[in-house]
Amino acid sequence: MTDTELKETHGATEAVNGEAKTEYFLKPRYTVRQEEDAYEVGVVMPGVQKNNLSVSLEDDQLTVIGTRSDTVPKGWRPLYEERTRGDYRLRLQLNVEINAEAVSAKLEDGVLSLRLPLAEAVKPRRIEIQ
Amino acid sequence: MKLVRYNEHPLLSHFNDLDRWFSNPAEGLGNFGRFFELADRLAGANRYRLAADLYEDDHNFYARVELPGAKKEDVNVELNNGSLTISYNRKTEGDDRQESVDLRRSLAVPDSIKADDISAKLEDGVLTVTLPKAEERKPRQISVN
Repeated sequence: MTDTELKETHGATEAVNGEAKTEYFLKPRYTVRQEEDAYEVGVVMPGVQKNNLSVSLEDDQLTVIGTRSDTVPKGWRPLYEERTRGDYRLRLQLNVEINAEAVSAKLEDGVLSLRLPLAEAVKPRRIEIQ
Repeated sequence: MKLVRYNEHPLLSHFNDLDRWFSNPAEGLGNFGRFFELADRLAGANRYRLAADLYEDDHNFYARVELPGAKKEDVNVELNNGSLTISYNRKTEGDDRQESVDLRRSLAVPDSIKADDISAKLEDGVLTVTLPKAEERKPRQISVN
């Protein structure tokens, strides 16, 4: 890659080991379901293996990054391609307090299931009437 | 070229904007989510379209399709008259309702495939079908005397 090309994509491009690498992500499809004491988030990430997945919760931002393993092997020539390339990133802003210690994640068959338990302080509470 | 991958499933449109949703969780959701297994709802999201890739190298053709949440026993691969059909069929029964997912995609493949040697592998929600080329299709080195 020449200097000129690098300049044109400046901002999205960084040099990694002497090679320019552009970071771009797909926003995966997701669902959210409310349970009594937790939110269940489902994220569709076909092609991602467990060890290529990162889930982080920082302040009120949940970030899921999945790197695909279903890359095209060397020597395969495309006849046609309809699927979208690229790794996945989903960033969700939470405005309820989550018990970060108790967040659990399961990745199965390209579907990530996240359970975000509500923090004690915001759990619904039943008040007994005397 | 821009490719549109998925059609919106009408039931899922409520989930597009989490920010809005978290600020008013009661809006539009109801209890419907409880009746579905997650994977089936997610599979429902691409009910209308199965995106496929087709590749070749010297020995094989390769077809790839995304089937997130699919188990291999629910996936069927068939070759018929030069047409490769991948189908995903799953029925689940809840306490008081049923959910059925039926996805299908056909791809035209060249005739000269060794039909008996087709293999398929489902990995992390991505199905790869390997279709070996018959001998006469493989590139052959012709020596010039």
